[in-house]
Amino acid sequence: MPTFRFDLRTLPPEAEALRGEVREFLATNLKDFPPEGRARTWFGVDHAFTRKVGERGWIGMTWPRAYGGQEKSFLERFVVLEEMLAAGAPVAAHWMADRQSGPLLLRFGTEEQKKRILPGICRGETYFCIGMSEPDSGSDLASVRSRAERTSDGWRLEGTKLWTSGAATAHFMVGLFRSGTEAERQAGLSQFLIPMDTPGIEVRPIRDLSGSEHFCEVHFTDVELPPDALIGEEGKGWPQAMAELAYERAGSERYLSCHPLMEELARELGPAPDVRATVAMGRQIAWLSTMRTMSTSVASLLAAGENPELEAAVVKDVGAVFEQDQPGIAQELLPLPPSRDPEAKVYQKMLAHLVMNAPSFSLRGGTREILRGIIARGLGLR
Amino acid sequence: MSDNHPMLAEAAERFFSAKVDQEAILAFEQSGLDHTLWTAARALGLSRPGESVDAGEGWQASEIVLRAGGRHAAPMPLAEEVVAAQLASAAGISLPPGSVGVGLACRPAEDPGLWACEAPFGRDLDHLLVVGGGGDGLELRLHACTGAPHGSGENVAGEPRDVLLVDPQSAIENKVVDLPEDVLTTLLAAARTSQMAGALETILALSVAYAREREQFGRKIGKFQAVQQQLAVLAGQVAAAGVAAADAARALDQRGLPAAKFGSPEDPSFEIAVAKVVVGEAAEFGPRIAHQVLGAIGFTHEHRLQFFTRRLWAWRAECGSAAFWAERLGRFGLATENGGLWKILTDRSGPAQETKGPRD
Repeated sequence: MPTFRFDLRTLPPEAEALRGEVREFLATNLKDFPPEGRARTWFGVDHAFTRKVGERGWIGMTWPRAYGGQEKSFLERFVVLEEMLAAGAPVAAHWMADRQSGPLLLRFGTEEQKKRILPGICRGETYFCIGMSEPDSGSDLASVRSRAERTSDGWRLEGTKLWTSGAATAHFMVGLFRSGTEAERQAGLSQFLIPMDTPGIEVRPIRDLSGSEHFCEVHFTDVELPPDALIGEEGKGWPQAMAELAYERAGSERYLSCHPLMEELARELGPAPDVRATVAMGRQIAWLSTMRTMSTSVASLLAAGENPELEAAVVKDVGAVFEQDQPGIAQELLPLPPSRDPEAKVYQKMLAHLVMNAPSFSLRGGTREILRGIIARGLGLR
Repeated sequence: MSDNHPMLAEAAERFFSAKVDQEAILAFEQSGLDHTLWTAARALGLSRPGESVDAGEGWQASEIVLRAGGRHAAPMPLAEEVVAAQLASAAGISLPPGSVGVGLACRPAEDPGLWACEAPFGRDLDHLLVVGGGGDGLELRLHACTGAPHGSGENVAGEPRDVLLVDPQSAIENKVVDLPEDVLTTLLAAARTSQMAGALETILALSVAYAREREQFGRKIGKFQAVQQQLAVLAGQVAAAGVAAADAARALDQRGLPAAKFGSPEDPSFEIAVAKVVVGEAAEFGPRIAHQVLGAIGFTHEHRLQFFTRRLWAWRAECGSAAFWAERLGRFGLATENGGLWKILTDRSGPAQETKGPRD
């Protein structure tokens, strides 16, 4: 049976050195940010904030200077992100580009694509969305049906993407389309760099149960793209899309989604609540600490150029259970119901948002069932 | 984790897998400690891993050996001697040859002048390092064990949990140290988490192996998604427990022995508390899943799964339950002067944490 590698690692001094800078930056730039907005964490959109993060050089910070990056280490980026998430900073506008699309282009994009796109991402001006799921393709992603046909002057896209986060504000989509036959499954897929203002693209935001509209339905009708819209190789869309999944799955966003709420809960409970609340908070601290140690361990493996797919799936699965439990735990400890009333306490407004969003924690970025399937395969069961 | 001391890890694993089979554990439950086996383990240095590594790595070396012992349900007072040796070495007490254990939570005995000490494996020890009972500061006293234990008991894994009587006047060596009163509970808790992390690894391995060979409805049961999902959950618990136990050992090496103020930079009790909570919870859910997967056969006395699950149930309750340690963590986490949950974590993992070494 293969074993997991979770060697203990310490963040290097140059990474730790950034922590204070980030805290100072957040104290200044989130001064007027509505405190309950911190509950949105990496789904909170604030364009002005994103541009300020870009000015500080904290978007695409590991990328080469030639493309607008800072050539910082992966672990320095880790510290910047965990500080932003713990504080509930509104990082959604640049999140997808910084975490996934930029690294994808760096790895598989042409020189022209990199020169054209990456500097704008780094400045906090260019936003991305990722078009993967479709009406009939969710967890079974290899069944996507949206088509990319070769034409005399490039590509024509047809079809529908669904549950695409941030599509309404994004400038580009990285879309997974079928350039081959359906029988080919994974081998028939390619990735495309799609400007969202291309004629024939229609974006319809979908309201979720909490009333937010972050995910969207995106229709493609006769969307004509130039030949260089293809990312990487034709037919290699699947392995290219999967290559970055460990980055997506083991990050701090997988256990800090409710963290701003838990800090607020701690403040509301005060320094000496009853034993029940003290014990419950102690359990949270224990798991928070352990999740962070695990996430740091995976980040260090990634920084060393390894691909810890299995460990990343473990972090996301255990992390999703942890953060999904938190709104319920909070409700059990304080007699303050979730509320969207403007007069309600910050804690209550955060709780309202998170109670209603917690179900998504084990859906986004690979459902619980898919992740546990990956872990089961790692155990040799599949 | 074993990447630090691969030779030690290999020596421990090789010894336990060669010497501790099902018969050895059964024999231990029927007729007590196999002194030949225990002596062989001690001769290899497995009960004093701190002596074979550089200073400042003793607890992490111990973690490796204790985890290997837990992986094989090694029926011997390994954790007790590891803790005794580390504590004695920090206090400057030199240990005589022979087996040594620890005496916990001393109280005055009915016989005037004597002290009653809770001593795991008390009946099997040559010497006992007694912690507590001093006036100013904490007293560590080394006693020779003579005669039968005052009280004999066992935990649900069949490990001796005895009470020994000692005469404070008869100590071979005696030191007053600047350590908190509950230092022994804290150190044993750290050692137990390593043993538990090892036992959890084994129940995962046994469950996976069984799921890959047992057939029902014409398929291996490991092919059923319901079973796969359960084993994936178990794997997550095992991974978290392993990380937490290793982090506690690292904290002991980096910060030194437990300090008077819980959670202070020089105190490793925070990480030990984290480990006992996380491992304790894994000891609740892990055995449930393993027993579910192994079905009726895993519930028999004949199957070796029970050696590991009974140990997990016993150890989980010893040296403070998850709730006991969670209360300390909660009190510390909520104290206003500590600045919030996130600041506590980042302060503890930050670069300022180059504290060290024993104090006495």
